[in-house]
Formats: sequence, structure tokens, C-alpha cells
Amino acid sequence: MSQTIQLGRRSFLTAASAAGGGLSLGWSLPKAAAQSTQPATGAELGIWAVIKPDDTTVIRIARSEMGQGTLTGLAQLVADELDADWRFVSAEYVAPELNLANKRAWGDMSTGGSRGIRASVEYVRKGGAVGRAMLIEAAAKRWSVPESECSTAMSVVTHTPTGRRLRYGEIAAEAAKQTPPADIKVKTPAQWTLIGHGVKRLDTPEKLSGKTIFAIDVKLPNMLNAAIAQCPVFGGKLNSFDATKINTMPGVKYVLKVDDSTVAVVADKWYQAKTALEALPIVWDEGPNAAVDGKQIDALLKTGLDAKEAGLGQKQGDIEAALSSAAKKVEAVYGTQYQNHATLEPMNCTALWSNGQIEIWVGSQNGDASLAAAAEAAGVKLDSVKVNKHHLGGGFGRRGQQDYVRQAVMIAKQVPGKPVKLIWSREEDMRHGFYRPITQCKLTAGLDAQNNVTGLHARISGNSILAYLAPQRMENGVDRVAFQGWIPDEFGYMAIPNLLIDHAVRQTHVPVGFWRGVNTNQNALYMECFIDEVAHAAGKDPLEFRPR
Amino acid sequence: MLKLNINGTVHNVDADPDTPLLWVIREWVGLTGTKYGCGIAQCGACSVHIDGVVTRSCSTAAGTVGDAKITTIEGLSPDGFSHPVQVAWLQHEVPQCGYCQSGQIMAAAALLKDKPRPTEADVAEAITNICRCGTYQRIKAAINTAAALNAASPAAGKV
Repeated sequence: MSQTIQLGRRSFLTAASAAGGGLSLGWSLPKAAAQSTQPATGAELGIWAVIKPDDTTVIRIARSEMGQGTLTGLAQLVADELDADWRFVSAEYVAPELNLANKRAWGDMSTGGSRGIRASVEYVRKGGAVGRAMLIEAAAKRWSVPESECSTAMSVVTHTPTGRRLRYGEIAAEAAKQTPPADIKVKTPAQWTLIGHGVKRLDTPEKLSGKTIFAIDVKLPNMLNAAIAQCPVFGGKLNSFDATKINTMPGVKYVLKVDDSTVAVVADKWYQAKTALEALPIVWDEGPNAAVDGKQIDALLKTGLDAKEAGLGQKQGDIEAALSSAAKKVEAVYGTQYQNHATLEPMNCTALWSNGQIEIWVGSQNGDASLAAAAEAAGVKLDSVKVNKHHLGGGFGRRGQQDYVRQAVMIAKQVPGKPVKLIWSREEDMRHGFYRPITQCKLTAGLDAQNNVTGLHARISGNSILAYLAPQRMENGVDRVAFQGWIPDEFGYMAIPNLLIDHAVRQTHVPVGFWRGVNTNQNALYMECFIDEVAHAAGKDPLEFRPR
Repeated sequence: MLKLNINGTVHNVDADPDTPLLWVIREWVGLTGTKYGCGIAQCGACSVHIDGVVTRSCSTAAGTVGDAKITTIEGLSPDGFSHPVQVAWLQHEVPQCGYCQSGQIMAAAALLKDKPRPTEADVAEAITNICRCGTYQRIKAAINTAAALNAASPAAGKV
């Protein structure tokens, strides 16, 4: 093959480490005074593992489980270094308020961008290794032998010369009194027995019997249920509602303004709340966005395809010269639509406001951020919040946003002393997402007389997630996430000698957010479709034409 | 007052007869294994058996059920894991987030009762439940395994 797209293998490692992808809320908790950890239900070995007398080994998990397997993967990392018998291992979430009170000892709770395991590997492995060292230290002391004569495997410490054995459960209480070593070595990959070895997921059995308690399944004494309606036009406001029309409907307790654009009905049962809400006369001030339709958004994006101003992603060589001198030019415009995350478990959160404290029960991709959102919505300090984390019935980036947490808290504050579970209807969930950005992409390629690709320009036009959600992460007006899949170069097209990759930001009134894969999905579709078209124009087989 | 036979227990329920069975099961009876996904019988997360027939409870008025026997995921097997479909689901580790899986399992169990050796086309036609995580390939494989388990031990499949 002679064409110029000869660029080395696509690297899945590079793909996996794509910088800037996924969720990062740029949010950190202020430091607080250190407090003791949760009252131990067993012997605490460091902060990551608790061992009970019967050998049960509870691994603490700071990230969130939403089906991606992080709960089990993190437990494997700790358990392997601890030399725990996997049959004894279970997992529990670290409460965000404990993390806060202990200067975030358990690290970052945000779970997105495929970082849940990658970014935790080192410190959770060390956490397991610390526990193992404490167990050995305690056993060696009890036997009055050197630690170097002790070994561990399958939740047992063995004194190798004499064959004496202590189950972890027998020695854990003493081990917990040892001082965790300051410096610790972890295993080499050859020593792993769990890491990299298939184990059954810890959370599967409960998911087969309906026993998993997702946040939507929480039951609390005296609990009420809330359904909400938000202004059907983004940016619109709640004008008025007539509660007298539904006050006497079955189960209805309260009809409340939640915020400037949201009204809630609180009832004994959620189905009663939803039924009453549907009968509630609501007057919306839909505002100027009510007139915006798909055609207008399409026209707006079209203005970006040829605009002079665009944020630069990557540039090399002389693209203008390459295209103007090309023997053949290929051009195409592609587009993708807004997409809702559509987690199968609709947005929901339960909140209890009582004596100046707020407690929530939630499925969240970021326990720390849920705590902060609850504090802000309740108007209390961070240390007045408790967060009960539940497995998520799907996340995909949607549950990194905290809008539903704030709403639940604002409802609960108006119903002191009673827990209120807010559930969005599916209709509400589809209408009020943080959608995958809408973009269009114009691609232009130049070929020389021998059908080598000599130049490529890819211009994206459309929404920027960072400009909407995290403007502080824009770099000189450029949203680097918008180029995901291309920069860093996951597919080998970015080494074309004359190249220009840029993005004309065109924001609409529609909220956008991180979506599984974020911008890679759209960009891969644009580029791969286009490479096919270029291959056809060059008279080549599309597969043969690609870099390898 | 409604009388509903759920998992072998008769519940007296003070709910409007028009209330969807899903919400009666979840909110009045308190069994939360049956899930709300869409409310319009599209996703199947709310699937239960009514006299052995898989039914989307979100769009079934509780007042229409009468004396029929309702089985939810909690009643599929006495211990919560021994039904051949549950055994196969564990073997294949089907669930990811797990939210749709009660419905998937109920749909699969009903299919196997009707058709102990379903073809791929039978599975495609019967299992229309949505899984947002995309566990469909494992669901198919697990149904085949469950069918084989049923064939090996016919008594195990009776529910």
C-alpha cells in the first residue's frame, strides 16, 4: 500500500487513556478535621478492609457500581494484596460523609470516564497490602517469631517453619491494633491470584432474586412520595399552578413549588402523586426557547461548518495548499442527534430533612458531589449531610449530574421530619436529560494523482459539553473533549502530513452532558464513514485503504 | 378493597382498582423486585406472571386480575436462586446494572414453560425486554443453558 495514511497500529491502550474523557466535575471538598472512621463492625485493617471473627472480609468501595463491575474489580484489587480467600469477601460503600470527615482518605468517589478502577489501582492495592502486613505483624507477635518466617494465603497466616496457622478472623482484632506500615510493597503480577483472574461478580446473586435495593426501592418509615413536572421548554419558568384542583385526590398531601421551573406533588404513594400531577393545572412561562425547533438548530450548526472562527484541535503541514493542489477532493457532511441517557431506573432520590440535617438515599456516580449538592440545596454546611449510596440502575454519565438530588432536598425541606422519595416519570426523564451533544462534521480530503491522501480537514460544528457544564476546563475557548477519538489519536488518522482538526462551538438551549463514550461515538462515525467514501473515490478496498 | 394472590399469599389492598398492578406490587404490597422502567409496557422491567403468563404489570389494572395467581421475581423460586433461569443467569453472569433483570428473568421463565427448547427465533420473539446495558447476548446464551438444565432435570423447571 502506498497511500499516505500509513500510520501505525491503532492503540487500544491509547484509547483507554484518552485524556479529558468522561466525568470530572472539577470539584473538591474543603479539608475538615479528621474524625474516627465508622464504628467498626469488625477489625479494621487500615481503611479498606474489615475482617470479622468468622473470616468475613468486607472491602470498602468508594466508587459507584452501575453495572460496569467496578465494585467487584476494586474488591479483587484489595483482596489479592490482602491474600484474602475470595469466598469470604463482600463489599460495602464508604459513606461520603465519612470520606469528607477523614480528609477524603478513600480518595475520589466520582465514577465515570472508565476511571473507577484505573485511577484507584495503586492506593487500593496498597491498602490491601497494609492489611496483610498488619495481620503478619500480629501473628508474629503472638507466636514470638520473626515476621519474615510468616506467610499468608487464603485468609490464613502460616508460620512456615512450624506449620502453625491462624485464620485471619482469629488474629484480626490484634492486627487492627498494629500501626499500619508507612511504606508498603505490592505484589508483582506473577504473584496475583485474584487480579486478572476471573471471579464472579459480588453483586450478581441479589440481582437475580429482586433483592438489590436500588435507590428507587428504598423504604423508610412514614415515607411520602413525590412526582415532579419541570417546564417542558429548557430555560422556561413555572408561572402558576392550581393546587385546589387536586388537593382532594387520593393520597395527595402537598403541592409544592420546588424551584423556578419545577412543581411537585407529594402523596402517600408515588402512583397517586403522578396521577394527581397529571391533573394539576400548570401555567408555564415557556420563554423565547419555545420557538426553537430542529430546523433552527440544524441551520445554526450549518453556520459552523464553514465559519472562519473555530477552536483548534490539531494542525500540521499546510492544509489549504494540500487541498487546493489536490488531484481529487472528497467532501462530506455528517450529523448526529441529541441522545438521552435513558437509564432504565428513572432519576430518583429520597431525602429527609430533620433538625437542620439532611440525609439522602441515592444512586449517584459521584457520592462527594451528591453530598455537596444536598448541602447547597438544603442551605447547610457539608458536615450536616448524610449520603446513603445505592447501586445505580444505569448511569452512563447521567447520574454524574445532581439535579435530581437538589430537587429531592428542596422538596424534603418543605416536609420536615418525613422522608420524601422523588421519582421522575419516564416522560420527565426523557425530557430533562443532559443530552449527548448534537454535532455536524464536514470532512474534506485531498488525494494526489496516485490516490494518496495528502490532506484532511475535519470541522466539527455544534455543542460543547465543557462550555455548558465546566467552562473552567475550556482551554482558550477550545473544548478538547470534542475531539475525543481523534485527539489523542485512537485510529491512526492524525499523522496525515497536512491536517486540520477544529471545532466551531454552537451552543443551543438544550442541556448537554457526558454520555457513555462521550464524543468518540460521533467522531468515530464521522471519520470511519468518510474514510470509506475516500477509499471508494480512490478506487481502493476500504479495509485495505485504512492504516494498520 | 382488592384481594390479590401474590406469590401464594393473599393480600388485601386498599388501592383504586385502576391502579396499575406494578404500583400495587411495589407500593401497597412492598415487593420492590418488580421495576418501573417506562410505564407504557414497552421496556418489560415490570414483567410478572399472571397464572403463568408473562404480563407487563405497569399497564395492567390491578382490579382486572381477580383470583389469578400473580408471581413476581421474589416468588420465582423458594430461595431466590434455584430456578433454572436463575441458575443459568448466574452461570453466564448476565446482569450488569441489574435493573431490568427481574423482568428479563420472568420473561425467560415464562418462555421456557411454554417452549422448553426454544429456537433463536422463539427467543427473539418472546424476549422483547429492554436492557440499557446491552446484556442481550448473555441473555440468549443463558436461556439456552436454562433450557438444557430443564431437559436434564425436568422437575426443576416447574413453577
